[in-house]
Amino acid sequence: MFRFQSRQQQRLDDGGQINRLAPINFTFDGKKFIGFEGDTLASALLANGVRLVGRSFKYHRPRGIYSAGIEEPNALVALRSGDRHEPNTRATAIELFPGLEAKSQNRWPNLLLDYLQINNLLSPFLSAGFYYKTFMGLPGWHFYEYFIRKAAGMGDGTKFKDPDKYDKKHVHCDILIVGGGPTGISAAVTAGRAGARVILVDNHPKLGGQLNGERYFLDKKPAHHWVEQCVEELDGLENVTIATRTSAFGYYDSDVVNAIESVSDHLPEPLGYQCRQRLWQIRAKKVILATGATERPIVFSNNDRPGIMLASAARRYVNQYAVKPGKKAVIFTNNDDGYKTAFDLARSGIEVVAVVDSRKNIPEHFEKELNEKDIEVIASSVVIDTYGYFGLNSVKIGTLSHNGKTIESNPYIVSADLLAVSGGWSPNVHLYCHSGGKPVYNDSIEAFVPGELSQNGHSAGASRGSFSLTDCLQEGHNIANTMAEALDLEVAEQIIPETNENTIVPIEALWRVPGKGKKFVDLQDDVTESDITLAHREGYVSVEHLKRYTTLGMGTDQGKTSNLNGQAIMAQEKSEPIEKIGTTTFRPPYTPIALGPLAGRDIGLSYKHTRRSAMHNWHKQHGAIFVEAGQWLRPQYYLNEMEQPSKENMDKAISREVQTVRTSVGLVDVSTLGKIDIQGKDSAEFLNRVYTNGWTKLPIGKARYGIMLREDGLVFDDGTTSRLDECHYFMTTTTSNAAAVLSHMEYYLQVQWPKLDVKVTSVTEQWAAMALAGPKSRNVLSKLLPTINVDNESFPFMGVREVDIEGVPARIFRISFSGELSYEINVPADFGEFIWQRILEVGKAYSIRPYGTEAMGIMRIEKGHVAGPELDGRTTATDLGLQKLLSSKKDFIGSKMMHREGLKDENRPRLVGLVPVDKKSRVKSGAILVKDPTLAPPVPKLGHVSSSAYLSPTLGHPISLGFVSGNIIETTKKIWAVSPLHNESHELEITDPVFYDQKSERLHD
Amino acid sequence: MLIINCPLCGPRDHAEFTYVGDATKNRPKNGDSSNDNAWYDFVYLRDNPKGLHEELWQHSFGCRCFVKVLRNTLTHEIIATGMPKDNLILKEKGLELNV
Amino acid sequence: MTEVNTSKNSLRRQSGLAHVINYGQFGNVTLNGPSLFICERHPLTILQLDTNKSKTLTDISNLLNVEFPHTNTCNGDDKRRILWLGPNRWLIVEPEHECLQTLINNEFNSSEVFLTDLSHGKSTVRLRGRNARDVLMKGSGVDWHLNSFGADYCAHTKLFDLAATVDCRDIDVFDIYIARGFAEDFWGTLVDAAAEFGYQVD
Ligand SMILES: [Zn+2]
Repeated sequence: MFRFQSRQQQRLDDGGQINRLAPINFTFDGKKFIGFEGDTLASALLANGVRLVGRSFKYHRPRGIYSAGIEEPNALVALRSGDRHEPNTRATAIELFPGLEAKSQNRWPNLLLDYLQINNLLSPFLSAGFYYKTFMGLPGWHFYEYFIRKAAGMGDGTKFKDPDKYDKKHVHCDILIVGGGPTGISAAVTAGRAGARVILVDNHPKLGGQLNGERYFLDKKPAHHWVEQCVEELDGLENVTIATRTSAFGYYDSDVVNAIESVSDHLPEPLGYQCRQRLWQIRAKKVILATGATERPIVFSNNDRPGIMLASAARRYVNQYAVKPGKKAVIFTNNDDGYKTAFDLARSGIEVVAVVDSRKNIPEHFEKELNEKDIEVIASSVVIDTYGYFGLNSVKIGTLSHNGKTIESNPYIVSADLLAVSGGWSPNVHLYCHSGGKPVYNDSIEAFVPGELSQNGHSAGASRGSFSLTDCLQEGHNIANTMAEALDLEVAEQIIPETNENTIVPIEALWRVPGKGKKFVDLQDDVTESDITLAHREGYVSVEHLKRYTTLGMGTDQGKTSNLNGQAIMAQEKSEPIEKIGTTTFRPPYTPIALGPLAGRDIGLSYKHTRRSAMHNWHKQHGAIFVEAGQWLRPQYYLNEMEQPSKENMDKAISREVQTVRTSVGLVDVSTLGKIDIQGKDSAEFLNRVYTNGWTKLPIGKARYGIMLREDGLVFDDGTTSRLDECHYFMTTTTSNAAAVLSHMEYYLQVQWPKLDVKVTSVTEQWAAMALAGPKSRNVLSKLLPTINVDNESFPFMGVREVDIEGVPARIFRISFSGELSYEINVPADFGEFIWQRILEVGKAYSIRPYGTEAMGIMRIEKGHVAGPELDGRTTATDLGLQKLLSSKKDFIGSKMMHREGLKDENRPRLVGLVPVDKKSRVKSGAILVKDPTLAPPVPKLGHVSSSAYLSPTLGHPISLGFVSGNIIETTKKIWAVSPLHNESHELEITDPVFYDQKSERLHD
Repeated sequence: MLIINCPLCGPRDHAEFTYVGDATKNRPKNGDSSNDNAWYDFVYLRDNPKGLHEELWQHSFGCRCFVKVLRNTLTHEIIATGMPKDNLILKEKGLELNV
Repeated sequence: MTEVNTSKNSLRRQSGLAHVINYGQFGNVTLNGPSLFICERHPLTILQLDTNKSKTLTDISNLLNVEFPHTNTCNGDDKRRILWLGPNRWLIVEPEHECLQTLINNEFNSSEVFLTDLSHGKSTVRLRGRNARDVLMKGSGVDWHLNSFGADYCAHTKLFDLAATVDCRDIDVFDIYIARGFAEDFWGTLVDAAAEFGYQVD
């Protein structure tokens, strides 16, 4: 053990919340180090004396560890390697794990020798807006952009597939508490005792929040005793869930808060079956925002060197991690908080050279301890500048003039390797803002605090500007009880422990120190004070403009340590109060999050669900090549055993299938068609209103084709509906409109005509459907149904029979989509595969073949049947040649609006057949029809091609369906199809849309 | 995300619902040729109110009922829900349209 | 789990899950054994019943010996279960019973009671075990807490992005009904979500 410790030269011998018995190996930029369990990567690096951890975004200046939490602007590293490589992670928020591998970023070739630090010397030219002003106007922006983006930047992402799993979880609670510091714990205890369903989330591995970084005493015992005691009680309450390592990143509508649980980020890799992260969608009745506050720095010259950090961070490193972030420290403060750091550092054996306090009066209550620890306080003074290229070595101190604009008398330099800066605390109002709230400025703490409530998220403790520990504990308790009361629960007792803290004295605002040199406001984006004053001089007035122009607060830290300083400087430049400048709108996520947990398991093939017919497995085993039809997978065509997938074999297979149906018999899976069961005494009346044609006279045992319109008079869907019984109908819809047609009908039944006695139910999944088509289909059917007469008289066209096929109940519809004699056979889905196979066995004698959607599509184009591409929501029944289906004897949906002038225009494009003049060109569907392809644009559009069969095996040449303006059809026989995107144009002959069996003799016999 | 309180099933995520449209429009009686304007109003004319709005949603993943929703388009707050025949605006007395 | 066959066709009824179910123990099964048990209930007779006549409803309930449940609840047992589906609409579920429809049709006027056979249109999965609610929580925003969703409650919801009916048969036993066409996909998602707890397929 001693061996390990000896290498951690900055580690204290005792104290802290680390486990010295559990050493952990890790590497940084390839160098091996050892830290302890309980460390973050940042604390372990500091323990090993590593101060330089990165280069800055724009100027490539050496940077160190600046904070001890998620607000870190500097210490961004690339974590892990290979497919788990993750750029831009904050060293201050990474829990140390065995074998951790981290690399510094934004340097080339290495941290000490970075060629791009030339940008620092060029910096007079690299002011706000420099790149845009210089390069954007030039013609070669695309050329420069690549190099500019490379020079300024963050770490690189990995191109490998993410090997980890991500999960989601939906949870509910009465009271959600965000933040497990003193306020949150106190609230959880009260809410838990009151019996509320409580969820407490905290982004750290254990509860305690600020208490973990301080030397507070509660009831005269170190604060962690109180924390442990509370956690023990909460763990014992069944109604309380504590979620650590869980970061609430967004507050959404309806009081939904999203959080990400880091399930295994603290491990080298997820254990078996463990996900890496899990998204929690938390639906809360009430929310307590106990999100704490973030310390902010003061802006002065060269305030970015390694060794300069937030005062509270320095304190946390000695208190929580037992790490000395330096040997000789200077504290620079404008409030009392800096003194706490001075005392804690001194107690840990760090030499505190001086507390530089910009205020005139030193708080009296510190005098005793200052004397005891022999700490010098320099009042009315500021840090003017710092020195040390790769790390701080000295600090320049001077006295501030009365107006704060100049430095009085002789500044002097003291040596120090740690400068702890405290500019005051800003409440973390982010989640409050997400919920719709507008923060207001509070002069007494010089920060924005939550204003009026927008949803049910109440801020408490430091997040609403109450910085005293007693106030935090009390507010947590009070708000929890108020909520318990509102939820009709018994209020609970809690004795608030006594604290040892000193009263908080008002801060005296100090945003920036006068002087030359680079004064960084936003360390992550390298935005300096002069960038802001430049923006002011160039006329930018609002904080939103300032942000976009200078990139202030646009980094991955979202300006947690910089926003307010930037705004305050702008306000000073404009001589206006800060609240008049406004605060930027915070948007989720509060901290950067991975996209993985948002996607969860909806990735790859699971991105959307796949729907399979009952015969799917048979298709798969018999050479089917599948095509997506909405969510369904349908056989597109079937390859023979010997055929490899190729374009030629595809064409061969499709032709083979079409010819089989046209000459003998084929079988196609049509289970995907929407099927709706309609019952009730008003069913016929309802169908009369939904369809354009008449339904009252349809006899039992017969099917009828119909079209539906939308209210605006355009065609919505088509299909056949059969009458099974007096008040029982069976409707089919197109595959793509199945759900929409059902909703459409439910809407009219529930909202418009609730008095109609009609029940509609989707039975799409109940029935497996297959169409047996071809001149020999009757032969196959009669073999399947040996006891039933299926001749043309007994089972005529549009007839419907309910029969029994080998013990399986079946509904058979004599309807046709292919143009051949055809029977659509529906059987309960569990029998689908069985009946499908039986039909193919019986059909062997007639060389039956299964066919896919391609052959089906070609045959329907040959027959001139309209389908999805024609029913595109822009066509009327007349456009489609279906005007005879429009009843004039009744009202139906769309019957009023279909008479609008524009829909009755005779020159509207109408359905036509199209054949390439050369009888071989493949015309793309979607091609535009024009008179002359050589005309210069704009060329008048005369119509478009809607569906194309690249080859009609029946006719021996390609055919298409399309729409051509009525007046053109009358006057010309030829037209051009152009597809400028593909640089194609083909001359077409306009024909009748029905290419095959125009008298429909084949399906009637 | 919005949470919509289905009058039958209880509070559910809006992803279980399908937005149908403006619930304040009444379908005119068919057959009357003098009511062209009423039809244009029903089919085409929609206000885009800032504030309270009565909407129709279908609980398509749940009970399949059509649900009336009184929603503040400015804040996304859902003030009340009911069945299609309910008049939510009257129910929530004191609330004015287009606040 | 195969229900008792009462039908001549049962041997040929092929479930929508026939090609995906692997029996055995999977996932993070510890020495204590799996904390989840998953099985398909098949073959079932599933009938949707619509009626708005309360007298008729009482009569049918007497015939079937199960009371029709109120909104969001279920009644009955594995032999005969009735689920509330929506206003005036219920689902009757039994192990395959081909005569059920005839039984009701013989007693009641077809203009008062409307039956729709959905036996083949739905796939039914039973999820059982102490982590069953944790799996449901991954897939749907319904409050699955015991206090809000106890025994004999049912919910029609979007579960793992699919329309599903969930029937709480007992404190930690759930029957999940989904459309047959999505059964294979649903199964894959369900066992993936269950893997971290360790599950057994019966
Ligand atoms: Zn509902």
